[in-house]
Amino acid sequence: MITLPNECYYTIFNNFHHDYKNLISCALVNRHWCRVIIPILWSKPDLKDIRVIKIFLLMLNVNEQALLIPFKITFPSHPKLLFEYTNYITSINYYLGYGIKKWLSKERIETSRELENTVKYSLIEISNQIFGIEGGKLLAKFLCKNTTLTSLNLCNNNLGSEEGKTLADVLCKNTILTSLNLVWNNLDSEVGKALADALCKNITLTSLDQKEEKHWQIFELNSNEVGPEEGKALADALCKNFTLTSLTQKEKKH
Amino acid sequence: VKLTSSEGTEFIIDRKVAEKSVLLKNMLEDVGESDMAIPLPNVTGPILNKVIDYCTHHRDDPFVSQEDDSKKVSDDIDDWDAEFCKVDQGTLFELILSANYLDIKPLLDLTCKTVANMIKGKTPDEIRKTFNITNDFTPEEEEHVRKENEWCEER
Repeated sequence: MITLPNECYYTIFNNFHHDYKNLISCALVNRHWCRVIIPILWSKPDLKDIRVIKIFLLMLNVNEQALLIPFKITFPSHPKLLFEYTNYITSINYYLGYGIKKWLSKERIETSRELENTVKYSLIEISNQIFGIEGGKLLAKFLCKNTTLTSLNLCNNNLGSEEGKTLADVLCKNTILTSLNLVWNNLDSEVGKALADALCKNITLTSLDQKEEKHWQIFELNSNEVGPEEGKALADALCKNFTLTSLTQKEKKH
Repeated sequence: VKLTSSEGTEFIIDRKVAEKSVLLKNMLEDVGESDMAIPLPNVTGPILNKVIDYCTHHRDDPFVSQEDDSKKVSDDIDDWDAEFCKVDQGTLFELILSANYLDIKPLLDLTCKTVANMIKGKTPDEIRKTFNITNDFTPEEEEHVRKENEWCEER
């Protein structure tokens, strides 16, 4: 068979969409096909499958694994995986939680919500870069129920204003979270207002870090785009919030 | 519009037919009307003939942009297209290459889909046989790929 340019292979294999069985057969044909197909396969893996969760866990770095040590989860020594599978993931949905639950019960690890959340958190961490809209929603739900997470890094997650608002809602109710990093997200002034409101009600958040790049407007005091109303709301929030100890605001680079 | 294939055979086609190829369309827009033949050193005469057949048959089809593309359900190949793709494998792959080179998206989609249909439902070994591909995996590697992607198998 003559060799085709890679883009032609993509066009061929994209006909299979998420027909995993055909795709994996192709991946096993030779090295070249494998390299083309693995990213397609893992762009939307079946998060309900424990085998996928296991691969995720093997991808955790030392710091992320450390989060799970208190729960006596051991990481089997495993030869290095052939691919950086998690790099190819483009979307994460609520099935992730389901998959984790299944995995825990299979491993007969005494499951608790605390543990589930820690696992989920460490997995979310690895998919940090690719957090999409679905991810944002999952996260919001997760925060609502979460009772252990004290620090959340949402750096560069491309969260839009929808997620931002949900997040603000959740912050009103969450009494544990003490640190929230929202650097580099696509949040707008409405979210800023909502967040300010949330700060009024939230008595535990002590650190809020949001350097901004594109659309973040509200917490930038020097920006022209901040309306006086939002600025006032923020100031009010700060007055009422006794525990917010650090608020970082870097200026927009324009 | 005059085209010459890799062997130097000349083809004269309507501009409208030529414009099915984004490459030629852009070229014609840049150069304007000209009597000069456009050389296509990557395309042989017989293949160019097939490509021209395709473009002539589909000359009045609306241009499908990249975005619309995902919407159209693309499982069905119409009779003419199916007949068009009844060629030997070598020709089929040459057609893919030419469609890619000349940037004729519908032809590329059609030929790639035809190949995908040839792959469908086959085991890795059958696929290798069909396309005469050598397996360059070591047995361990093959096992790893299988194991790390086990979750795909029963879907």
